Amino acid sequence: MRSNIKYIRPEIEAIGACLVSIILISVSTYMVYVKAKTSLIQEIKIGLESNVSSAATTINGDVHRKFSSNTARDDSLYLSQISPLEEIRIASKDIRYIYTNILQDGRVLFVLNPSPQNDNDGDGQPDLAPALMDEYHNPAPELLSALTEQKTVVSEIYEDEWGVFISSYAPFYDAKGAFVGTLGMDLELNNFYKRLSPVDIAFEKTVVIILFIGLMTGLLIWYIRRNAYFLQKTNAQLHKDDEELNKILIEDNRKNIRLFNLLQDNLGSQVVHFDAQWFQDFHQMLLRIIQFKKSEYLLGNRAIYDLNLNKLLSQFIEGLKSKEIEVTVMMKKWPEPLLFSGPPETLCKSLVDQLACLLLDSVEIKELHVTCQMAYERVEDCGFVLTMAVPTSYSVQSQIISVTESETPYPHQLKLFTAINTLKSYNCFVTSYVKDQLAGFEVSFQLVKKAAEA
Amino acid sequence: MKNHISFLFILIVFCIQLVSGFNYFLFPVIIDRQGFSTSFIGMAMSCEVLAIALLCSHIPKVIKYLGTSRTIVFTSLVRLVVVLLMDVNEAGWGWVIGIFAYGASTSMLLVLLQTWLNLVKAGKLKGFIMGLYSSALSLGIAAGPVILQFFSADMHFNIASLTTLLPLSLLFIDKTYKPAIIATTGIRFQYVFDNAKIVMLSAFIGGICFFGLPSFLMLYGLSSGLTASEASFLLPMFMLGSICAGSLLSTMSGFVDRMALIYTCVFISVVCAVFLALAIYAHFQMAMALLFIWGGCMGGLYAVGLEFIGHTFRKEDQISANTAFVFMDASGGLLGLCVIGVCTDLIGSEGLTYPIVIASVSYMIFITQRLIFKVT
Repeated sequence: MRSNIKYIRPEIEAIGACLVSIILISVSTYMVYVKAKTSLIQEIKIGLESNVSSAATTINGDVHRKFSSNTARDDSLYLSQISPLEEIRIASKDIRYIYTNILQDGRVLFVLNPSPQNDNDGDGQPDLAPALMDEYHNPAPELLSALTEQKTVVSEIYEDEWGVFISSYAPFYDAKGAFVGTLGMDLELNNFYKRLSPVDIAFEKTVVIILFIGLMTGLLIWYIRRNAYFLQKTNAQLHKDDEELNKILIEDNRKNIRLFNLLQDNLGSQVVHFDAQWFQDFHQMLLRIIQFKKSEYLLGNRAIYDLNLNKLLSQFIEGLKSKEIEVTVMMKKWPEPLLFSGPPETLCKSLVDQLACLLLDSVEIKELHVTCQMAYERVEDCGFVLTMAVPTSYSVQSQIISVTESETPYPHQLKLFTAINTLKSYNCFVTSYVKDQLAGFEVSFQLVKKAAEA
Repeated sequence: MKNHISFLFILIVFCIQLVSGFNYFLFPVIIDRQGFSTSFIGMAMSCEVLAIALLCSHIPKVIKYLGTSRTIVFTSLVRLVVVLLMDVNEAGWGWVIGIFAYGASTSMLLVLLQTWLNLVKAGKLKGFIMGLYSSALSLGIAAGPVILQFFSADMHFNIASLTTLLPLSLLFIDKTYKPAIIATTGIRFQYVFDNAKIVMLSAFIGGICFFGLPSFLMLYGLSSGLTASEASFLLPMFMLGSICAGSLLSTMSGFVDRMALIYTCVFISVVCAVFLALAIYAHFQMAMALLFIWGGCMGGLYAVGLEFIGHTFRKEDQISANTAFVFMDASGGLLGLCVIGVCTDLIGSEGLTYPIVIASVSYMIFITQRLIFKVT
C-alpha cells in the first residue's frame, strides 16, 4: 500500500525544533527574570511603606498645624520639627527627599521639607527647598490619594529630571487623632538599578546559553531525523531492489537450466552422469562468470557454447598473475612523483584497445581524442579517468551509446561487453560519454599508491 | 625499546618548549626595560607565530635538503645564536628578526620531532604517547618561567642557551631505532586538508584557544569581577586540564573511535566555553572546573588529532600532514589573537568568549553535518 504522507525535510524540522526550544526557554527565562525583578521591587515597596509609616508617627500633628506661610525657615519650632525628619532621611539609605504635605482648598501644599535639593538653576549651590505652604503643582496621583483617603500609599517606579524614584506617603494625626497631612518619602532607585545590574548581566549571558541549547536541540533533531529519513528511503529502495533481484534470479535460473541442457546436448555422454567433482568445478566457473553483471549475454548466446571451461579458467588465472599497471604521476605545483599500481596491465591494455577500436570502427573520420586525468586522490588510492572519444554526428553518437545500453546485443558486441565487464571486476568503471559532437567512453581506474623509497 | 625512543622525543620536546617558556618570560621584560612600547612588545612576540604561519610550507624543503640530523643541528644552532644575541641586543629590528628566526627554527624542529614521533609504532600506547607530547608542549611553556625563578637574573640567558643544545642528543640515537622520514620538497596542504578536514580544523580551533586564552583570560577574569588572585588561577587551571585530562583523553583514543572522541571533545569544550561566561560571573569554583575540563578537551583534541594523522597518512605524507597541522594551529592562534583583541575592544570582556564560542560551534555544526552525511 502506497502512503501519501509527505515527509518534512529533516533540515526544516531541525530549524523548527531549534526555534521552538529557543522561544520556549527564552520566554520562561524572561518570565523568571521579570518575576525576580518584580519581587525585588515589591520588597523595596514594602520596606519603604513600613519606613514611611513608622516615620510618620514621629511627627507632632498639633505642632504641625501651627506652621503657616509666615513661618520663617530659621524658626526654632520649624527647625526642631525638620531636624528629626532629616535624621531619618540620612539614616534611611537611598531616601532622597522627605517632606510633609497638607491638603488645603483642594491644593496640595508643602510644609516640612528638610531635604537638600538639586542644583537646578546651575549656580553651583543646591537650590532652596520649597517654602512653607508652597503649592505642589501636578502632585502625583498617589499623593492625592493618600491625602484624600488618609491612607498609606506607595507609587509605581517613575523617572523625572532628578532621577528614578519610588515614593510612599503615610498619614499623620494630631493628639485627638484627627488627620493632619501626609509624610512623603522619595526613594532614589539609581543605586538599586546598579545593584540589579548583575542580574541583568547574568540574564544577558544566559541568552548565549539559550541560543546554544537551541542549536544543540536543532543538531540533535537533524541527526535523528536525517537517519530516520534515510532509513525510510533505504527501506523503500531495498524493497524495490528485492523485487527486481527476484526477477533477475528467476531469469538467471531459467538461463542456467538452458545452459545445462545445451551443455548436456553438446558434450554428450561425458556429462550425462554429473560427477560430483565436475559439478563443483563447473559451479565454481559459473560463479566466476556471473561476477560480471552482464554475464547473461555470454550465457545467452548459442554461438559461444563451444567454450572450453578449463582454458577459460586458466586464462583468467593467468590474467590475474600478469604484471600490474604502474603509473607515475607528476603533478602541477608538486615536484615529487606519485607512484601507483593497478589492475593487470596487459588485460587493461587489450580491453581499452577494444573500446578504442569500437569507437574508431563506428566513424569515418579516424580521429581519437584521448585524455587522462586524476579524478580524486585519497590517502591510499587514487582515481584516474581515461576519456576516449571520436567526433561524430548525433545519429552515430546514439548508435555508439546504444551499444552499452542495449538489452539485446548482437554477437559482434559481445567482445565489448566482456571488455567492459572485465574492467568492472577490477574496479574500472566504463560509462558512455556524449558532449559537443564527441561520443565515447570514460574509463575510471582506481589505482593504489605505491610506497616511495626512503 | 621504541617506546623509550618516544619518551626521549617527548623529553626533548619539553626542553624545546622550555626555552620558549624562558623567552616568553625574558623577552617582554627586557624589551620593556629597553624603553619600547607595549604595542611593539606585542608585535615582536607575535613574530614567532607569524614565522610558523609564513614559513611552514618551506619546512619540508629544508628538511629534505639538509636531512634529519643536519636539520636538528641547524635549527638548534639557530636557536642558540638567537638566544645569545637577544641577551645583548638593544635594537628594535633585532628583536623582530630574532624572534622571527627563533619561531621559524623552533617550528621546524617541532615538525621534525612530531613527524618522527608519529612514525614510531607504539600500538595502543600511541594515544598515550601523543597525549604526553601534547602535554610536553604546554608544560614546557608553563614551566619555563617557574624554573627561571631558581636562578639569578644573570644566569637566565645561559640556562636558556644550554637548553637549546639538548635536542642535539637525538644525534646519538642508534640509527636502527630512528624511524625513517621520507622528506618531500613541499607541503601538499590541499591534499592533507581534503583527507583530514576534521583534524585540521580541530588544530585551528585548538590554536584559537591555546593562543587566545593565555593572552586574555586574566583580563577576562578581572573584568568579570574576580579579584587579581582569583583571576591568576584561571590560566593555570586551563593548562593543568590540558596536561592531566588531555593525556587521559588521548590515551583513550587507542581504545575508542577517534572521530567519536574528537566530537565529544569539541562538544564538551563548546559547553565549557558557553557556560564559562556565566560561571565566571556567578560561581568561581564552577568556572575553575569548567576551565579544567575545557583545557582537557582542547589538549585531548590536539593529541588525538596528531595521532589521527600519524595513523591515517602514509610515511610519504607524514611531513606534509604534520606541517599542515602545525600551520593550522599557528593560523588559528594568529587569527584568534587578532579577532579576540578586536572583539574585546568592540564588545568588552565577552570579546574573549564569543569568538571562541562562535568558532567552536561552527566547527561542531560542520562535524555534525559530516557525521550525518557520512551515515546517510
